[in-house]
Amino acid sequence: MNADNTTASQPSKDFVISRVFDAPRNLVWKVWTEPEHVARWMNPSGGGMSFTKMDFRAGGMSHYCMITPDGGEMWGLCKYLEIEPPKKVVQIQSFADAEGNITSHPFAPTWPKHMLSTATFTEKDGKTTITIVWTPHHSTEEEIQTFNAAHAGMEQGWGGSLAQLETYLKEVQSR
Amino acid sequence: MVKQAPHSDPLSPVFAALADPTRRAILEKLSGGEMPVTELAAPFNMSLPAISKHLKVLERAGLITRGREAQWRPCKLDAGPLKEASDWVEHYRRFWEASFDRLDDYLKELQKKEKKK
Repeated sequence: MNADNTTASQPSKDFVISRVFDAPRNLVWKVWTEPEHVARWMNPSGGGMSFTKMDFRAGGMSHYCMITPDGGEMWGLCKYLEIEPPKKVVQIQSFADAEGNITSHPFAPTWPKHMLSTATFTEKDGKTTITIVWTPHHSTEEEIQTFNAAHAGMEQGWGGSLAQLETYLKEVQSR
Repeated sequence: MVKQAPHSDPLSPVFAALADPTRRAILEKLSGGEMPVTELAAPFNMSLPAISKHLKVLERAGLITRGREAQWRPCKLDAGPLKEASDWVEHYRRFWEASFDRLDDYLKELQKKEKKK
């Protein structure tokens, strides 16, 4: 997959993240899809996670809450489009409130409200690779622009220049 | 749709400005220090008016400032909004990196338990 051929006429780029886990695919699938397991790892801050709803089937929804490091609540909503155990989950992900209404991103109001996320699981020699591909779903032009800019920042060309900018930022701040 | 005040969110113009590779290259060049437009434009295969357009977008986003003198209008990187934008972008990536770290640990823990049984 090469994003370099993307031009302005192509509305959005994918954001991809992938990692190999030293565990068989069936176990990874279980831990990825069963709420009591998901709650143990998904919240990056370790603050815990609870589901008010979890209907894991194509067409089903989940509604969950993560506790942020400062004790706040971050709600999310997920609609499952396609489930193919133990290989693939396609879902639409959104930020939400406690009542399950879709909201904008708490830190970036123009972030796409609906993100299509496809997680695939492949196994080799007892290890499982998880790859998640995100793409804006039914988004406005402004949302797609935000997503593409963020993507550009995350994936492309920034490596060296970002490091350079970081050095510069530190320099500026220490003045 | 609810109509919001334009740019009520200060990061939107920043992201829009960063969405273009030429503008990112301009910022990178300016990270070396302030520079007049002619010097800035030299490495780009682009007319001065085209470069000026990009500079205007960057200026509106608050990413650069420009000197007052009519002839010599050096461009200068303003790090503030850029830092906010890159912090936020980093936040998103870090979220998943951290989740994956935790998943990795959790899988190890589960498999250890499994072996003990």
